[in-house]
Amino acid sequence: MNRKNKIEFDVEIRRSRILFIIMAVVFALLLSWLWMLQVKGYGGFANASERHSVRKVRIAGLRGSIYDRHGYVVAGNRASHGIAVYLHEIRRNKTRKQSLTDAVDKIIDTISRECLMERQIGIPEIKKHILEKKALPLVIWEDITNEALARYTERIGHIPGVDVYNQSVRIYPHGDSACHIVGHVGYGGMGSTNETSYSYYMQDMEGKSGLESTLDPVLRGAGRPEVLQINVHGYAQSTLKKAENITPGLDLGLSLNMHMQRFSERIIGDDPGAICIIDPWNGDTLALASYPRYDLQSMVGADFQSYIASLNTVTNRPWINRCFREHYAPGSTFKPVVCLGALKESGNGFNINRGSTFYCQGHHKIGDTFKMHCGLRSGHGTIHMVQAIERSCNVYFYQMGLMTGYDVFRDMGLEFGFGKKTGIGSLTIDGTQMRGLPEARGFLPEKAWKLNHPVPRFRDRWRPPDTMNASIGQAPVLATPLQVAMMAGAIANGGTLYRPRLIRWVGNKDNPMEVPPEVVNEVNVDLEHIKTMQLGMHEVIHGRYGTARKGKIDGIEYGAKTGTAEFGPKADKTYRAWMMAFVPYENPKYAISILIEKSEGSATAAVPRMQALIKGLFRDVLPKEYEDGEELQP
Amino acid sequence: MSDRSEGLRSVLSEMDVSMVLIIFGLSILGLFFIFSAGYESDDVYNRAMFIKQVIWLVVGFGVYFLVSLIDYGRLAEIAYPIYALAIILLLLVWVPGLGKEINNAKRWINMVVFNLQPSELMKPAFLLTLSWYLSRPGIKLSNWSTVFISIGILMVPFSLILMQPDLGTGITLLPIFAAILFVSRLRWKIIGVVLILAPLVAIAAWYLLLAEYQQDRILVFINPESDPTGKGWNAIQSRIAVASGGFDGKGYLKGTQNLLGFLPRTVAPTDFIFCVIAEEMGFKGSAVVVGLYTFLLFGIMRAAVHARDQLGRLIAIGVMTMLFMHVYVNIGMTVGLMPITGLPLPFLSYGGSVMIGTMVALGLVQSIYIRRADGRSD
Repeated sequence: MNRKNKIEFDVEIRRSRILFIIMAVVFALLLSWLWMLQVKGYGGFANASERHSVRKVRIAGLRGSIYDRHGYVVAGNRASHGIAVYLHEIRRNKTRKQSLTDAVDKIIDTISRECLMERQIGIPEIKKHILEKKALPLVIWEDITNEALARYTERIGHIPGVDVYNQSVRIYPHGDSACHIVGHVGYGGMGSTNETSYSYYMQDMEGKSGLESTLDPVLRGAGRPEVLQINVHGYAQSTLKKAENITPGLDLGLSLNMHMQRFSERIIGDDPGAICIIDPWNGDTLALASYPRYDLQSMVGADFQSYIASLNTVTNRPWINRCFREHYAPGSTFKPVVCLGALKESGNGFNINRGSTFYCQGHHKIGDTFKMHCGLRSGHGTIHMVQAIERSCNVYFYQMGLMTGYDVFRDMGLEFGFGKKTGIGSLTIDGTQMRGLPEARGFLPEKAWKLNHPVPRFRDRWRPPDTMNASIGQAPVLATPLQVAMMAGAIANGGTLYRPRLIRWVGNKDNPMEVPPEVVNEVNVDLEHIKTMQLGMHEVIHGRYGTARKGKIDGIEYGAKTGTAEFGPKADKTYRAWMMAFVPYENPKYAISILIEKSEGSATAAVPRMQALIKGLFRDVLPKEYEDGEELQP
Repeated sequence: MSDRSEGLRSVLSEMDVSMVLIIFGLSILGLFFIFSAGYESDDVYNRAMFIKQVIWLVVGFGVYFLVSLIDYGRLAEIAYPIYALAIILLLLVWVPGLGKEINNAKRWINMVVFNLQPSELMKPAFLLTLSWYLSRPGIKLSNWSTVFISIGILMVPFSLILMQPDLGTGITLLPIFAAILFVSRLRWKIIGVVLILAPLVAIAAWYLLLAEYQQDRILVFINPESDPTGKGWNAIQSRIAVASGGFDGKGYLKGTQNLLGFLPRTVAPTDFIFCVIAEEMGFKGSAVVVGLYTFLLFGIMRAAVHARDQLGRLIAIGVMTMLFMHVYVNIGMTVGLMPITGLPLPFLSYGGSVMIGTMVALGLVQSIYIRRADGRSD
């Protein structure tokens, strides 16, 4: 090797080393870039793989049940079987040419043929499911019969990717009874808005009406997340996290006695109206019957849509709960309020006591032209307060009302809860106030209201005829049957107005959380005056001239007040028939209100019903054990 | 070498065993992750890749030892015929019935049992020929004729490969060319001129030579999010795969990007095998892979330094550059440092042609090391 060669070799070797060093440096830079990307999470790619390959599916929690006061199920769950296909498995097993939709469709055809079941879904539904949530199983049959299930297991056996699944469905064993109170569920949404982090949710029961709707957050269990891993095509690959920590919804215990409820509904019969039975000592609503009703079971059936369509043609509005969703002029049932107002405020510009008399000549005149009649055109003569209640003399109340002024008995009406919602069905759980059932407010306006009357031609200042009308519970006074029952209860118990306690307990049936009775108001009037009202109401039944003397029941002493309120055109001769009662007279157990929307008057529509109802409550119509106070285990 | 067996034994004793071990290690690693890449695939072809790769590996090592045993000088003597043969193979991809078109690219020759990718064989043939030419006595790079002939040796395969079109493979020829010329004592003056002219040539090439999809690839490289489901898909998904590996990785056969098919199954075992490793083994795996390649480059550099003649040195440098380019471009594209080009990762990626081509090249390096200047066989 000569010298020149040596130099050339040295250059080549040096340059070779330079090249290697450059490459090593580049690799070092590459490695540091990898460090940034992989360890430091530079560029925000690190979590992207999880984000796009993981789907959170909400599995519905078990919905709480609703029980009546004796533990009978009013709304519950039963297991239902369905058939579902798991698309990722179908996809793996189908032939290459076949589309997934066709493969699923073929499977449905086979099952339909072999199991003699009509198809529940068609091609459009399959396509929609594949498009929107292909990571989830597609339900091809819901709620199949046991026979169909048997045929399926026998004849079909196992098709890869097809499986039987269990689901809970809602049942309402009492059909249409208390339908407005209990309400029904439908399938749909996710419930509370803080659950929007889910990618998908399985169909969940969602309350649509009644308590099912207002207390939906309580009844509905917390959704459980199930984490699915999906592949690049969006099909489920595996379940990363099974749904666990099942949090079922809370159960509700109602104060309703379903036997009384059904019995009350039978008493109403086919006339639109309502019966409310409450416990005067705690506000428990023992029965809240309303007619017309709808069948809850049909509302959760497969064909609920056509059922709803059939109901919507009915003109008497079956969705409306007459007990408290609608209000009516209370008529003469309002009269005790007028009396109590006068008795309480006596001495403030007028003097009224239980012995005060007014003369009734069958009508009352203001000036020469304006005349308002009494129920008895021939007149009641000179009568005192108890007689006025007993005979329901309008003229007595016209005169007393005019003497005291409207505001006096309006204030007393407010004390009894008129003109405002009772708050029935509302509930406070862990500091969260749940809204109550939808209610009508009733109406007991200030005088100034008339200046802004909704109908322009009635806009005027408050005039004496308005006071006269209000004093007999006519327009503008409006009340719900529940409000009237609450008033009857307050009169019966000596002046304590309770909030209707529809829900007695919440939570687990074996470990319930009691809802205590709630006093809304201690009516600010002497007990002695209330006793006067009790006496008046006693005479309505038992007095010689009592308006409801035909409602007497052997062996049962009770107090009541009838009411017949005008509505609509006079020529129709139809009236709201009212009756409120507390029974028995001594130590009352029940306060009752009855309303019939359209009738010839309380004597024919309300009194016989009250009589039958009370007979039923105390005689052997109801099984003995259901008389209140005796708690039974179902 | 009087006695054949005596000669064989002495040849084996002079081998750079570390290099063999690194190659073997990388190949076995490759097998594991080709298996992983095909693990969840419904496609029979993907599952068969593992078996095929085992076969290729056996064949590859056979080729490797065969080439190591042959004196590279003898091989270089027939460099021109080899070069011509490789060029003919490159032309054959255009022959109907023989050439096989995949994704609008004519890169393969249908060999009945496998598809041959002649461009992979072209690389060792090219660097062998160029080294042979430049190491001829009397050939001096100070002569412009030498430079032009060298450029000619480059341009024939380069243009043919670009026409296939195969941008990635084509581009790797340039650094090989540059490195061999550099080590051949190319003057700094010329290097300077080239460095100035290169950008101008690149701009011209953009408009004259690159097909639209090749331009797209480079554009998508610059901003992959511009077309996340189309052209940018591979770029984004591969980067996500690498990044989501973290330090420790998700575990073997647990890479979600890979198993769930976000990393397309057609490319995961081939061009994107590094993603699978980086996702499942994390930074640790990446570091091992890059480290092994660095050791391999070091081994080749050592062979170049100790080569008995300029020919050996130039061949070794050519192989070193080829390997470096493959590794850098491939890993670079999976982590977003380079545009997506169909350049496989030697020993790790699935593929027969690249396996044979690389084995030939590294066999040459082994042959050079065995016959090194200070070795016994010299």
